[in-house]
Amino acid sequence: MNLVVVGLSHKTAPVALRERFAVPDDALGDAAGRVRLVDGCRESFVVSTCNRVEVYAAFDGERPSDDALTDVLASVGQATRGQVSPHAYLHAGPEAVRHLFRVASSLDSLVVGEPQILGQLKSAFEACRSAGQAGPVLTRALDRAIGVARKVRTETGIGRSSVSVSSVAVDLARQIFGDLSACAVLLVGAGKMGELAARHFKTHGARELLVANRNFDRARALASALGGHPRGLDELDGLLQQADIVVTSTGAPGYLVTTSAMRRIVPARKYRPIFFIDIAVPRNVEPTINALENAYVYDVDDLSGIANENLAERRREAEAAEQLVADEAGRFLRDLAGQSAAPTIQALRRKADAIRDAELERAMRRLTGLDEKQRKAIEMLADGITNKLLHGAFTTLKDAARDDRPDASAALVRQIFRLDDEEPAP
Amino acid sequence: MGAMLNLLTLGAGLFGLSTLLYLGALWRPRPSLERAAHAALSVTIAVWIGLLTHQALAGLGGTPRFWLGLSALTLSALYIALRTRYPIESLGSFVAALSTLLAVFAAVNSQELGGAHHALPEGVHAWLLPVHVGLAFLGVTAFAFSTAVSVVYLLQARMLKQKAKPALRRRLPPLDVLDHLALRGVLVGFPPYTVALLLGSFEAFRTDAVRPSYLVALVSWLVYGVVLQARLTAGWRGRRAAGLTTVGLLMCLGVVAQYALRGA
Repeated sequence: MNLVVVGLSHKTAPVALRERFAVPDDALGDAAGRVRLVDGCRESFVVSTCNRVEVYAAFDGERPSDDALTDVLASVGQATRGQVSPHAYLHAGPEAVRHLFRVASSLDSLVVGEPQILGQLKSAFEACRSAGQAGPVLTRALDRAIGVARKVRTETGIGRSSVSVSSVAVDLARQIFGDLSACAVLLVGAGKMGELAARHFKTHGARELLVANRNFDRARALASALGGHPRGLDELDGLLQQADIVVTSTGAPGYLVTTSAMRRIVPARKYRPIFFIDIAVPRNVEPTINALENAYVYDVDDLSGIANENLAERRREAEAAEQLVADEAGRFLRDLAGQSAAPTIQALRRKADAIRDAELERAMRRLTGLDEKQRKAIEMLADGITNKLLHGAFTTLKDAARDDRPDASAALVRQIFRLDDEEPAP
Repeated sequence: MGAMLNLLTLGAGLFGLSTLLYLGALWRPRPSLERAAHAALSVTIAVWIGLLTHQALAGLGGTPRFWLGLSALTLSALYIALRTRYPIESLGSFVAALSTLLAVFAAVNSQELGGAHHALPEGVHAWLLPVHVGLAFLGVTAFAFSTAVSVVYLLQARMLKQKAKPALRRRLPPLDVLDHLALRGVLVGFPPYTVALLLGSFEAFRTDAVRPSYLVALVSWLVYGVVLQARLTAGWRGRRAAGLTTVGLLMCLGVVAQYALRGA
């Protein structure tokens, strides 16, 4: 069985081409069905995300030519071979397995380590399997890919750190407050980035959201959209006593929150920690507030810096993950090869058992008057001879499969024992 | 006696090994390394339970090394119990290091000063000593835990203020959890320490055997009193509370050191 993958991704094709290949979830089965029309294709599945479209297929014997496979991909996007081939990649055999494992482990993603791809792979596969297009070989490959992806996530730090400004802000807040469910978030201003960060905090379980704006109607509209409470900007000092997390994103030219004001407010808060996320440019929060006890100030550069460091860390972890994926791919291929000897072993076992049973029956008919103990002894003798005779052949077949030369040995065994006279090779 | 000393040294070594594994897990967080560190500390706790039970059965339950060993054991057991409830995986290295220190004191003390506990001041009730020392060690153990947590708090707060690289910061527990645990440590340790101090003072004044160590103990008690008062009324938390908690423990350890070197 030969595994093949052909596809387009964010690394090889522009979005203008990728968007033509987007396959809705309910059409994945049909797309995989079209792949099955290619000669020798036993199983297939198609995965389509905003960053990639890929066709996985398992072929009997030799795989089709590169052109034929490119045509298969082109048919998914109703494009021509000429349009697709400059952007398509094609992997077969061990490289196809490694590619699948890399994709599942998010090593080939736009944002390395993002967790969504595994869910997308699973649901695409499930759609193709329920449409009857994916079978045991691809199931085994995908199951192993999922296992490898989980191993990569637990054994490396690839998915540990956040790489967007909003997620970094939430992570920092968690480092200060632990559980966000007791935290009140104050959003000052109506900037897009601030809104996004506030929404992120709300999604991550913040208890309360207060929205303060110079224009109260705007505050009310934004609060209603975010599920918060509107407040006027003139209440700011009081709000700073209530809030745990303050997100500022106004267009004010100077500082809205000053160190002298916070010197009064920190004791009034009974030294409860306060975390400022100042996304505004020019900044709204005086940076020296960071020197006050239990007050933490991060501006947009600080947050971006952390996001970039996290990204670099992910890349470093990705190197360890690549090694893990390569090892697992090698192991999977050896297992798969080992299983390729199974049909011959089963056929040989069936033939030997049939001969043993027939000879035993004939012998028992001739040997009358045997007691139970004597019958058992003769059966054990027959079993012993059969098993010992087969042992060498089984070992040779398994070793050959592991050494990537299963076909020649299997053919020899089939010929010597005339296995194909009684049953066709699978 | 010699075999017991070897076992105590082995026990201290096990705490040291746990510390190294925790430090390794802090430096390079891997689930396998964290599991190994927890397993090592759990085995160490089991070994120390055996060692201390053996000591108690041999009638050496009141020796300085017994109490030091019990402190080391309690501290680590407390951590193992608390980590089922709080995200404090990374505290392991600090707690195990403190336990190692106490266990080393126990091993050294047994080698050099074994038997000093028999030197009771004249007129002191025999029943009072184990109660006084036991309560004091219970209090000091809780304060030690609180201090370990406070040190981590100071580290974490500093890293957050300095906007340090996220790798190590992320491995330490959140400030709020650390602050909560530090307060809990003082709250748990203060009552037994208070009773121990009252009993000790009562007997010291009754038998006219007041020593400088009592004064140090009294000041340390006052420090913890201030910590509690400031935390519960003025809302002190963070740097100031952590600093005072550490000062209090240093004084307590001074008293313990005098006790261990001199005998009761």
